[in-house]
Amino acid sequence: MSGAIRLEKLGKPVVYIVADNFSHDAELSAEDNGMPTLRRVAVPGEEFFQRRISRDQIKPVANSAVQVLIAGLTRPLTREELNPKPKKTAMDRIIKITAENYGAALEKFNALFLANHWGSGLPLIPPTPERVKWMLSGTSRSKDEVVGIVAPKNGKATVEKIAINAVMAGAKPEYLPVIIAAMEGFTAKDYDLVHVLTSSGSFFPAVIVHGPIAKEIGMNSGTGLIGHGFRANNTIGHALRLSLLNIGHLWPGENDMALIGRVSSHTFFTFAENEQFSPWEPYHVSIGFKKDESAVTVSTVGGYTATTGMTVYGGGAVAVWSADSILDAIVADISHDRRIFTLFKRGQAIPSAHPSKHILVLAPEFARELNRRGYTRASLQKYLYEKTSIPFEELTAQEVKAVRDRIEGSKARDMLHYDIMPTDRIPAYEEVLKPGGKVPVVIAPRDITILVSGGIPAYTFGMSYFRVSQETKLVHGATLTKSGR
Amino acid sequence: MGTGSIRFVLTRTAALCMCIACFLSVAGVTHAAVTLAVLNPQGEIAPPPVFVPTARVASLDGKKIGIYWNGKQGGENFWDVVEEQLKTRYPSAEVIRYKGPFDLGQAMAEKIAKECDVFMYGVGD
Repeated sequence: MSGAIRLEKLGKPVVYIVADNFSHDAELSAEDNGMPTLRRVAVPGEEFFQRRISRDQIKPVANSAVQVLIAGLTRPLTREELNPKPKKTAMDRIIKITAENYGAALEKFNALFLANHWGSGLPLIPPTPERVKWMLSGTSRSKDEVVGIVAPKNGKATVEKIAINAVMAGAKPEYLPVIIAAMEGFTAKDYDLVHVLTSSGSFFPAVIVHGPIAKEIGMNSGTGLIGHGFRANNTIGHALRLSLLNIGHLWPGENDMALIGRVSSHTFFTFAENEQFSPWEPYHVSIGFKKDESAVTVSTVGGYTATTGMTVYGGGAVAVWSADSILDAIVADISHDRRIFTLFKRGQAIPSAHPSKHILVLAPEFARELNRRGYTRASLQKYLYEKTSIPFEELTAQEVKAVRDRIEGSKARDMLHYDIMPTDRIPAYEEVLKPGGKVPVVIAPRDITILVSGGIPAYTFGMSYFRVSQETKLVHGATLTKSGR
Repeated sequence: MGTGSIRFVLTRTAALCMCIACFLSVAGVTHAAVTLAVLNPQGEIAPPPVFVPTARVASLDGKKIGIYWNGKQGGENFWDVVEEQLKTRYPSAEVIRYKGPFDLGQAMAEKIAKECDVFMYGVGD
């Protein structure tokens, strides 16, 4: 939508075409981007998505669309189109709900909030001024501090707004600094929040807590780590879901277009590293934080082909396994990233051609065995990066061209940002794109994030997504825990 | 009805109401309303600016028609048919096809705006 509006502002008439299931989304997007009466036409989604597979099949849909496309460019603008109404954005600060008793008032509150699209579908705790003040006791940060701006509607995430949503989620004040740090991650400049919140694929966030605060607030990092039963894990995740939904003004089917919904949609995958069982330093220390500091990593995972959000590599109590079998499974999975060579076409949006990042959650007993073999986190990253690289001689001519095109497009920065290689990686690729070289399918070793979590036994699993959209932020401002101050 | 009778009725009515209230209270049935005052969880949004679309053209005859697509699969088939139809209906028009990201960006917009008179813009979902 924003692209079409750019052309309009340059004085060129545009007609914007969508599949009809996205019509309301387009209407909201036009409003958000400042041209509510941009000319829009729709094709039947039921016909378009199925028939686009060939020219013959799509012909009836395209022929029907032509007349409305022409009319979109030639029919004079109406009075309504020339006088769009400004969008009302003022909101009531306080909402009052009255009923004959507390139970009825609670029911009425939940019904109202869900009808307003301010809830997640699960029961909410009323964010009364007293409860919000209680929640804010968990941080020394000012309630008016703006933590970030939340897509898709660019709502302001103040500390107070986050606290309101944390109350609704059933969180405790000592969790608030972790929730705020996660929101800093989501609203960071390089985090593609729009995509994880609104894409038609089933992308969703993983939220991982590192450092001493995890244990202090009772987070689970052992058996059942991505599941239910732990107030910290579950309500931190739910607070983030509500914060993103409400502060960003997001709603399924309107602008959150996940066609079949998102995995773990209420609480995301929210867990902590198991530092007690890990043979290595915590992840946040490996990227430069201090050991007594705490941090939160937010990362988009999941997608079209790994909709469950994870791939299990082995371990556990059922099938036999060895450290080698799990390593081989990880290598085999990451090796599929060769598709970024075979499928890439410069200038085209091909999701499977975007380079990936991989988050590996190692079961503690597996990590300990690797440690006994002399692996560190860094050497394991390097091993996987090199083991999955392809000898130049084995690449097809098309694959070599694709890598060259990606390098050129990255230098010119005229491609979708998902496809762009960071500047510091370009020399590494130019160096190996010749006989004797080994061409990596993972853009950089740092794109393999290695965590240790789970009980004993546990499965080692991986989560993956385009290599963008991962941030680790310091937890600070805590008042009720020793860590995170 | 005399004053004395009215006073009698009012006194008896008041007494009856007090008995009912007392009974209800003993039975645990009260009607004290509860009001929940809660804070709005939504983020404040600055009002977006409002722009008006550009005036339309009278006809596509002789025009350069740009078709912008983000390259999602199958879109080429759709736009091939559209292009064919446009050329049949407007033999003097020229159709130029473009591909790029979801938002083409300001630099590309400025470039292709110089090359075409009108645009059809689609992004595949």
